[in-house]
Amino acid sequence: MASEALLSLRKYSLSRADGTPVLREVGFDVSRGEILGIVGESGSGKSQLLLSLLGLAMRGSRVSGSARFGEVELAGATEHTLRTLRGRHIAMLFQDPLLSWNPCLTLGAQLIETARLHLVLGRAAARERVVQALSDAQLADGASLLGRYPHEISGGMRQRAMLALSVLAEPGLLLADEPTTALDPTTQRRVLARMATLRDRGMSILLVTHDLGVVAQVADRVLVMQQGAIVEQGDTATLLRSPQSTYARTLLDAARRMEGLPCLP
Amino acid sequence: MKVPLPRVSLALLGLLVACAVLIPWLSPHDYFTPDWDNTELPPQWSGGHLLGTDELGRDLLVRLMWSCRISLLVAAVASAISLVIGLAWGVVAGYVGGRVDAILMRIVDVLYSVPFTPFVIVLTVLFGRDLVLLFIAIGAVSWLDIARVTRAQTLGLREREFIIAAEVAGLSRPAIMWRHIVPNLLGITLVCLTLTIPAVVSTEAFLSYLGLGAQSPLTSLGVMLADGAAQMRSRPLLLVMPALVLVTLVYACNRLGDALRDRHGL
Repeated sequence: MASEALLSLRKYSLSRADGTPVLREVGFDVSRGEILGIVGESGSGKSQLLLSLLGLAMRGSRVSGSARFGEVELAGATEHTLRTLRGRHIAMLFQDPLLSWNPCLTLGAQLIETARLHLVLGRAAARERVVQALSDAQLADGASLLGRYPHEISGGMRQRAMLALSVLAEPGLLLADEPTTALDPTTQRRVLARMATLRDRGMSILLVTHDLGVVAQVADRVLVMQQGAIVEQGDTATLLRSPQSTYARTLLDAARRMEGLPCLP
Repeated sequence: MKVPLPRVSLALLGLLVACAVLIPWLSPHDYFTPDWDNTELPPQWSGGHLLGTDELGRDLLVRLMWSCRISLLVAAVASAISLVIGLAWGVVAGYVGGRVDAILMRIVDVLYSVPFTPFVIVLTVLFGRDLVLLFIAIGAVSWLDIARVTRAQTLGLREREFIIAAEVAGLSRPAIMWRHIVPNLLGITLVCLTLTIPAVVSTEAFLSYLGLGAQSPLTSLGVMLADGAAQMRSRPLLLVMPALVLVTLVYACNRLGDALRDRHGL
């Protein structure tokens, strides 16, 4: 397992400019073709973990430890190195699809821009590739979507189109930051199904969420974070059935109570 | 609620711009040839001098429209210069941040503190009185406001998710600035521009009034005001008409700028 790890973090820490720790010596592996769910309450450092891997954590923050992506060390990598990875090898998907599209440009302009950048295609070829990617994401009539502005389509379509944009260059790793939180259950299922398909094609996905239902549906393994540290990690079914740490138990109980289910024994 | 655009101001502005553009083809008279047989005519329908002529027999209405043409030309060129410099300056300072931001904005602060009128006088002493110089002098000063405004807006945009998303997608900095930040600044720069134009028109009139701008026989609103002021007791129309045109032009632009600003909720 460890030999084929695509992303491997060891004693990875992140602190703010003023020295407040955000992540404390985090360590985990993500294998090729695996979805790793990361759960934890707000402020536990999940989103900052994803952003810091791409060198986009808050200004002035510092990382230490090691984060290996294939052959590349991400911790302390130069902006240039990181930029060659962004979008091409590591992609990211955000929570709110309305905020992550530029409101002034059409979907087509933004999709084609990315396609041309990463796949080195001409305008016509890029356009074709984008329409193909939209239809892969089961967005019917991709060609007509290209001329639309982000506010003109539904939230679900926006997020599915954003997912199509993220994986346009077929990156090895997708960092998904609460990608389903803003969606209705039907769309949520579609996005998750698409992620499962991508995983089956060999893409690794780091799925940050606070929805244990989402984790139960698609994640192969789960990692529970509290205040910047990992309190428990393991295979999804096992962890959800019998959590070892108190914090994971509390989290699960809270989720079950909301569903109207009895607490765990 | 959508703020309606001021129709009267738009119409007046349109009329002035149309006159200024079309005047060479509209009138049988030109603005510079003296006509010694028809000096100091009062307004009259017959003879084709609707507002009369000045002391050299030149048609007042035609000269007014030519003044408008020059003033608007200065405004357009100076605003275009200030837009290009100001927008680029502000976006780079705001987006790149850090030391670059500090250096760029200190330069703006320094330029702000240069007293404008003595600066222009020094320029005219050094390079002679020239209309092109006027463009440069006004353009060099009026971009400062646009730079500050766009920088402030860019600082806000930089933290927006779609900019981070663009960074995550691996776009280069110039691409993000040009393709993702600039389009989002168009609203505010348009507002800035409609408020810069009247300021530039007034500045041009002021400098020309002092004799630092357009030179005779070329005319501008400031030149006409200066000429008119010299004979305001005997022929008040020579002062009143250019003043009226200047006020109308500046008022209409300001009114339009305010309406646009309210529209964009700024």
